[in-house]
Amino acid sequence: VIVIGLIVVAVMLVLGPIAAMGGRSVGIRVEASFTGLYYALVSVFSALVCARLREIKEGATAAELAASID
Amino acid sequence: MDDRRVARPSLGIGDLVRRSLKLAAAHFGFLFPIAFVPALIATVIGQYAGGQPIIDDLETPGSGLPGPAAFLAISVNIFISFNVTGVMCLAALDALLGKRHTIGEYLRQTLRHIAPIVLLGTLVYVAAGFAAILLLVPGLYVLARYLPWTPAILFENSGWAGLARAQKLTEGTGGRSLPQ
Repeated sequence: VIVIGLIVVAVMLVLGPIAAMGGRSVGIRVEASFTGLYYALVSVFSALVCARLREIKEGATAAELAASID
Repeated sequence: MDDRRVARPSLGIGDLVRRSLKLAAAHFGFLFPIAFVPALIATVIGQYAGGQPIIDDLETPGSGLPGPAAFLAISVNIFISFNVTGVMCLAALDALLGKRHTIGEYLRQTLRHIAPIVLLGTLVYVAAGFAAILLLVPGLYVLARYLPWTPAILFENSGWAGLARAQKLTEGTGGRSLPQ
């Protein structure tokens, strides 16, 4: 979570000044992009952690986790 | 030395971070729009709630409380963010397995558990916030200990038992779901 947060902050630091130059609508889109990027990375990470923990502790495969939406 | 001691398989957090980044990059075109569109909606609501930028309405003068527009915007943002997290976890699992479901199916599964997701999620973040007041580390420990609560609720239909399930899954990892 810390590493992913740092990656998002690094991208924000690079793109922030560009967004500031582009006005409010560009700022909104850039902010939404950061948020979307954060959601995507954290969700992928927590899904992988859950799959790995189940694999270690219960010998379950990732495919078994998908049963809830099949 | 006790030879009977069984070595616990490593969680491999570094490897999980690398795999997360690789997976997100490989499926960027699938995952990012699912997160971006609601994030854009939430940002626009936040910016224009009540016909004015939210920052102007953050406090009702004299009361120290958020104004109604800001309160509504914050509530909508929390609801959207927990929904997006749920949908994204399901989409990430599909990306991992090379499968595809419709966004409607992800959303239905998330909405089926939306009450525990929102309430338990809020509880985790409030607890982590309070723990972080003491020192930063306890807050991070709380977040690490309950990290898989959303997947536990959604993947296993564990509902209100999601936090207990996450706690059980991370038991004995010593907070190793934080990168070390």
